[in-house]
Amino acid sequence: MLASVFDLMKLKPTIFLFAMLVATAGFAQRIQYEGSWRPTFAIRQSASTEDYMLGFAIGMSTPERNLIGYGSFDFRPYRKKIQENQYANFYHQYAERRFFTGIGVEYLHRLNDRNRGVFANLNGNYTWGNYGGTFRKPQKGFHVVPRAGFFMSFFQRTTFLKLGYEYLDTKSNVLEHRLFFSVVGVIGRVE
Amino acid sequence: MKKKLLAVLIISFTLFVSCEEECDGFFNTCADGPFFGDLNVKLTINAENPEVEVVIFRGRMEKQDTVIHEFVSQKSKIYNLEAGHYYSGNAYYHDGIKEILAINGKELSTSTDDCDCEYGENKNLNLRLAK
Repeated sequence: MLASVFDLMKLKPTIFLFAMLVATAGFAQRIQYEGSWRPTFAIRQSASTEDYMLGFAIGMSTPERNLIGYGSFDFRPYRKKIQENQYANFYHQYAERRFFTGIGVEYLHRLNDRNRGVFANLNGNYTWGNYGGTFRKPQKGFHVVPRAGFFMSFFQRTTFLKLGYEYLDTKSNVLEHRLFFSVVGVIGRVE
Repeated sequence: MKKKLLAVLIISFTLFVSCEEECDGFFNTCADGPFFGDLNVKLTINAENPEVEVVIFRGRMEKQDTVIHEFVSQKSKIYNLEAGHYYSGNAYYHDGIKEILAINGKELSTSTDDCDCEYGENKNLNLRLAK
């Protein structure tokens, strides 16, 4: 059952999820919310020439939207082939599935234009995974994922698009340097 | 008007009876099992690997419960196996000076159709060489 869900999580459902989030975030501005900390939710992706990850984050933002704390879950929605040297010239090629969960903090700095700026993000993660066809498991453990880049906000800062760089050590033989993209919704308008 | 009503009634009754025949009671045609499904094994066949040694195990490969062991020269080979089990596969490749054992596995599960009859699902097992 879980495998079928993962099989479905290919490109088209991802586009659908993003469209849904943009629509939800658009409606988020209509919600009357008077609390000092604003609930946030995000769908995020990171990709390199070798790999792709999809993730979700839920957290709280300051009313000015310059600081966000969040909890996150990311995963690779398919099995990636990973080659590991066993001895001499002999390699095992595993079909790896990988997951990440953690907490993070993000600082957003608006530039002259109030709806554009830069962000810096630190995400403390625990990662684990499995290989298809064998009881052997890939390496697991804690790591920190730094991210930085640019953002644009829309609908009175209830929706943010972020694009930047991410350093993700998957603890497998995969390129760490990635492009990061996320859509964030924040409940409550900035008047 | 009466003719139209009669026609609708006849069509509805026919549909009802045909559905009854397929799914319910005395006419139930569900098989008891065991159920079988197709495991479609995908392989890399190239100049270096014109023929690939393939091993299919029931369960994880460490259990060594071998179901199939053969050399394959096609990019795709279908094995009809008993559903309701996890199957793992090994394929041996050469890539320059490297020798590579590709490992992967899939659950060949059973599912139920509209009449609640069980059947074996088909799955792909990717044992291709990484690019």
